[in-house]
Amino acid sequence: MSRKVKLHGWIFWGVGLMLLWGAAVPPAHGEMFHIEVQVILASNSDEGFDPRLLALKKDLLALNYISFQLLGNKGLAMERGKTGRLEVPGGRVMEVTPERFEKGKVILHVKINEGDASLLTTRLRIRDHGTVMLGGPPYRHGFLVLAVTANR
Amino acid sequence: MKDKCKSIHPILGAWFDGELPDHKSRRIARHVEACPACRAEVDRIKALRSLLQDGFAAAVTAEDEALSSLHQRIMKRIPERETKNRKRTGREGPLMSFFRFRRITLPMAVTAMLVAAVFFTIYKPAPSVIKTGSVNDCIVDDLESGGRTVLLFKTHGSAMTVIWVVGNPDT
Repeated sequence: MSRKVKLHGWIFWGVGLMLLWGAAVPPAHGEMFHIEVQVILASNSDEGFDPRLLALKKDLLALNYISFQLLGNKGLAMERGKTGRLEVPGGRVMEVTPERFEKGKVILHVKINEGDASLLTTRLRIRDHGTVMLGGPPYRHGFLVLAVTANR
Repeated sequence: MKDKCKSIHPILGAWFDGELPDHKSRRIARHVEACPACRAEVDRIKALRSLLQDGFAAAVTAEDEALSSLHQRIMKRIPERETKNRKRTGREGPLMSFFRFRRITLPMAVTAMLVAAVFFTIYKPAPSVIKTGSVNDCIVDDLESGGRTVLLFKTHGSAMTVIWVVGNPDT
């Protein structure tokens, strides 16, 4: 057996063991969560239904408005316990903190501030890949709806 | 030419080669000694045989030399070919050289084990709790809206939870 073949054998074993170790050892940092927030303007104007919101159409139409426009969309990748901030139209700020994952649900702490005042503070257990809608703050000629989807 | 010479001429070659029976051979020998024409014919046969033998010997020698030369050329090219093969294998890179490795069974088995280990480490079956209920199952643990009215309901579409903050604290 040549020296070169022996060397290749050692390289193969080394890479294989490194792969095995990498797959078996959990990451040093905490769990990662992906939170997606769609900022939607619900109104009774004649703007119609934004085609980018088709996946939410049935649920949005249950809110008894006729026009839904997507104002913004933001995805946040966060470690467990870390807080992500999102500016919401009308001078509002939304803070999202994924607390943990338990029994197939993402436990999420959500806070919406309007200036110095707290508009809403809640703790939700959302099924993984599930969506919850937070709405009500007035904006322009309608109301804001925040569709929050949580993925682990 | 005498009648006897005419009958002997065709068998003079066989006589010269010693292929005739003794009594016949002795009779022809006596005739050749006495007959200048037949002796001349025998001399001609002798010269022809000599020429043939010399030519054959020369041809065999030449053939031997050619075979010997061919053998030497082949033996000389074998090491050159081996060197070229070694160089070509070297140019194929470490991956190809590795797969040319005769004992490939063990590395293949280890690879299979690694793939299986990685798969079973990464693959985590979903908990059974996920298989039931709505896609958008949501439990509201606590809610604080600073004195504002809050509507909490589920949509008909996919039973999505909606938290709707109504009005201002002073309304």
